Amino acid sequence: MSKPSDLVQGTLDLLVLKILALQPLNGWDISRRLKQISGDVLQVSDGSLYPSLHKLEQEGWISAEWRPSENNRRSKFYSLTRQGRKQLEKETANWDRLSAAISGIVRLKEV
Amino acid sequence: MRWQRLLSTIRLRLRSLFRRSKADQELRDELQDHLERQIQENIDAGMTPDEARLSALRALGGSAQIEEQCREQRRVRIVEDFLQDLRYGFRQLRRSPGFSTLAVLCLTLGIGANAAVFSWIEGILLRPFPAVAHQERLVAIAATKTAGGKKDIESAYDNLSWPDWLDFQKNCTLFDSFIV
Repeated sequence: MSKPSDLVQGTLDLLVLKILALQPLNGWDISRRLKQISGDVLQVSDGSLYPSLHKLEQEGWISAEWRPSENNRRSKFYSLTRQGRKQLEKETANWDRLSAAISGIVRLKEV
Repeated sequence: MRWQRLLSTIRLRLRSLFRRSKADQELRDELQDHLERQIQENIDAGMTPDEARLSALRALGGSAQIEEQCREQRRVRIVEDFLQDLRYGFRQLRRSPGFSTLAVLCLTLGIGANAAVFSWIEGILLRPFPAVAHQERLVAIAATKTAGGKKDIESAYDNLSWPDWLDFQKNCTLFDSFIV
């Protein structure tokens, strides 16, 4: 079995934005959620998840807040901002375009 | 919408610059939180605490590296680096006071001499009538001679005579005033 393919450049942002659009989460839960939803196909290393989160925060697409979470811990929770929602729409449209183009080529019939 | 984003961006950048140690501490706390959750999960899966810890550290990767990558996202790196260079420069200057004094002295003299020469040249060559307030309105008047026939008009400039100048000064309303 081949190893899980790396994420297409720039799609991690899209995935994170989408997951946060559903509900505010902390870094750990985002990482769990990514693995869970994609059925372990997407192995996002936690080492690249956190820089990505900080980038999105600096762009103003997500905002962070320290909040108590379960069993007396405090976690940094991220939630989507209004600009983030716009960005998500834009990146989703981009993704649709890109993936349609690529599948169009990949599915060409050989004669 | 736009200014909201601008405001929040400015707030974030200022925080990265002036509350840097707090931002760094929060970054460490965040990664620590992640690590502890991973350890707990490993223990729940049946590992001994030591194993769980090592495995969690491996899974996260080099935390110093991750912290650095997160800090790079703050977009104030260029300002931080500049300030650091500035501090370094001053430290170097303080380390060799003799050389620094000499360098500052040379620069002072050089710039001073240049400024002096330029202001002298400007007064003499570039702005020849320092007493006139609106130099851009200055024009020169010359007389033309028609004696040599029409063809020669353009080349036949002549100086104004003194009586002509007196007449101009008295009767001409086209100019504010005349000087010779």
